[in-house]
Amino acid sequence: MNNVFCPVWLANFAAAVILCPLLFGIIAKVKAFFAGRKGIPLFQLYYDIFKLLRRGVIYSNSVSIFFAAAPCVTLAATVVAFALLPCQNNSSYFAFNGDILLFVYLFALARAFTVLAAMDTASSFEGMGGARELHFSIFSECALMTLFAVLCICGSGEFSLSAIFFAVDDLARNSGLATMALLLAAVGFFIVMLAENCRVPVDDPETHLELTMIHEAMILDYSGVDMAIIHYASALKLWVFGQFMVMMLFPQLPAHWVWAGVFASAAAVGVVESVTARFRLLKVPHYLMGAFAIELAALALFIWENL
Amino acid sequence: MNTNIFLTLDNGSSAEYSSLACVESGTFRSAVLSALDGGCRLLDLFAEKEQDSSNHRLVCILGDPRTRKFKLISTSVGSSYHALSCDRECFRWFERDIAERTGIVPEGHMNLKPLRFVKNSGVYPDVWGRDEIVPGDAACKELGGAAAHEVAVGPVHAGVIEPGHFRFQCFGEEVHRLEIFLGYQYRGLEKLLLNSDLSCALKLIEVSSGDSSCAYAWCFSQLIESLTGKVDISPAASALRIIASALERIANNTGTLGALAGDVAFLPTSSFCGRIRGDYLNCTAELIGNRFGRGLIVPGGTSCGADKNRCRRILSKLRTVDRELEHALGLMFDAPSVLDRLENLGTVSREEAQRAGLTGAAGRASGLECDARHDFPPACGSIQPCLAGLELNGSVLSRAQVYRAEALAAAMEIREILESGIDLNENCCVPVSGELQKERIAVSVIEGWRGEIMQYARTSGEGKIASFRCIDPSLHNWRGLEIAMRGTQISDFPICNKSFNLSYCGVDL
Repeated sequence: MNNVFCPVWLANFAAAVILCPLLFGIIAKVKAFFAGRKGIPLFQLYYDIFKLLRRGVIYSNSVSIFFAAAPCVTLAATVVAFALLPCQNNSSYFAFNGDILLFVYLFALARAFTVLAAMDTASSFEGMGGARELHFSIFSECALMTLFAVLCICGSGEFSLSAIFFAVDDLARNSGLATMALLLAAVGFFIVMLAENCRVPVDDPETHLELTMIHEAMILDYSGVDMAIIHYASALKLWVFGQFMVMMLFPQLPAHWVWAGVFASAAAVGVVESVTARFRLLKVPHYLMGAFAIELAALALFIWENL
Repeated sequence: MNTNIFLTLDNGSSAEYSSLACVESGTFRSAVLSALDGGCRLLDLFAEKEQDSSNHRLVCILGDPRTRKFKLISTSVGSSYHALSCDRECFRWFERDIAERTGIVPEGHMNLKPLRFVKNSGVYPDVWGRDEIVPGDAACKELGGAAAHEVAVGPVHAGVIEPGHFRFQCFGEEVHRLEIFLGYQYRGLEKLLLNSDLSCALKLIEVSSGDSSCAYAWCFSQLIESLTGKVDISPAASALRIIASALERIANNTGTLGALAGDVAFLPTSSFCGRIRGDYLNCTAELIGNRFGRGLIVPGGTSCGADKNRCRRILSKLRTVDRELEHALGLMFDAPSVLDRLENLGTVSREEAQRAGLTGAAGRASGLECDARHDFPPACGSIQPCLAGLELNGSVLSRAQVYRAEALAAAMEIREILESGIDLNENCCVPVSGELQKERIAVSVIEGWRGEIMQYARTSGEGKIASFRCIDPSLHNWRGLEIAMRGTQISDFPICNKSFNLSYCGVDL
């Protein structure tokens, strides 16, 4: 694999880093549209982040280094995961065979730190949030790993995201069944994306009710700069998932169309949030197992195709 | 059993204090229990000091829906008595109140702890031997075992919520037991009222639970009217009272349903209802100039009437808003994701509701036929039950359906009155004399949007109010929330709580 810095890939990287807070603005605008309101400004998250960056940080006396480290680890893991994604025809500079596993488990690393930090505060709300997060991540990991099995098969044995997306493009052009399977896989991925990014119907980022929170409960004790980092990292994570989905469907799309696709996926999240209520927590595993089943169906389709 | 030992009273009438029988404690107990078995509802149980002595008298007020009369009975007590809550769960919170206020111990009480965290009257020592009284400072039954954990929520909450402390004993995500601690907003309202003149007392009553101002004012006005003697309320004033409390009911039910939609993250209804609630409050403001209808209902009638133009304006506004409300609620009750979220959640069965003495909307959602508008119609007007055709099993969904049906029925009711062409400007206010009759007692019950509001007063030999009781339906229904949470996921607590939507300050008083 020839790892070179390519301008398009760099441009995409820069665009994501700069534009990702806009995604939450888009979701909010879509939701406001459905509710018949004006809604918060499109750039609200930028304002919030700048506001938080100017503030100091307050730590409880009882927390350890984990608590302070978690936001940075989360952000670093997200940035590195994003750096593994290719763009258009250009493989990532950091691509290597097997990076697909690193991609998934970087997010697991971020989650592990967030949960540890939550337990660190010894607050019962945060403990509950952490327990729920870990509980549900088991099911979303099932779906996600099956999806990667689909991609690896379609990438004819490659284990690097960059190589896989080239292969996906070839395959989709040549086989109707494979296109269908990819579509199916994308639907499953969208479900996981909602769960992983703490959106309705799994989690409700706007709720003020601590007892119902999952992700929000774990970050209740953060303030100032740490909070800004957490907000930013979650925006970037949403971008990574959005771009991943767009590239699964259209691997050859020019960079600026990829960005449009990411914005469209944020809008889709907004639509889902506007028209559905949140599940009760006991239903969430069922929902994620649904995504797992969809990915299995996609896998079966691929195997059928390759027989 | 001889039932004649009860003093019977109509809603909005008074009787000589001396006609309230003070029976022997055994007779009292068996009379009260058998009346409850016979279908009576508990309205109030309290201890009041006898005039000119430090002895206490235990007074029980029951409501008999069959005869539509209240039944009162009393007995004298010493420093302790055999708790009625040993036999009937519905007495629990009332006996906690007695123990806290007077120091009289209800022996055998299942969970005796303070209710409002206030000092007692000083005749007996503090039941819990407290030197310093701190709200929320009470023992709580704890769940043992390594897998059990306790979650404490409040008294300071996120969002705009009144202060209340909730202690959950959890087994994983499942709530084994919930204990509720209130009393953070204790203002000593009943004592304040004793020293106030009539107009000031009315102001205080209206804010005792601010979202039920009209119902409280109506209840108090009826109480005063019955104590001053015969007062004929004009049809216009009666109609205005009904309109004001119906508007209050719609606005609050809309707010509750909107908040419920917000809690399950169902955006459309949540946003619509927030605005529509404001529209109904504005209709109330059109009547009196206050969005909560404060100052409208006064003893003797209403403080002002509504001329033809004003009625027409309100009617045309209501026609639009009613339609919008129906649409907004339709969205919520047609969405499968919402129904799935709410049904079979936080269920209080009919038997549990009966035992705990639930009342009002929550009681009706569990299948109890309790509606003070029907059972104890006020001196003016009664209303027919409107829950026909609903399958109610006491779940969050059932409570939501009751709120919806009652809001829509109340909207119909207002429009019928306004469309009937009755002159709402005629003779609205008959001023009552400030003189109360001496040595009398009266009970007044009005169905607010949550349930029945009960007020009791006894006048002294000087024609002043010597003893006053005010019971918010929440005092009966908080126990319902504790029951609803048993075996429920802790993450469902906010939704269960919202479906009851009880008053904190209405209990604290």
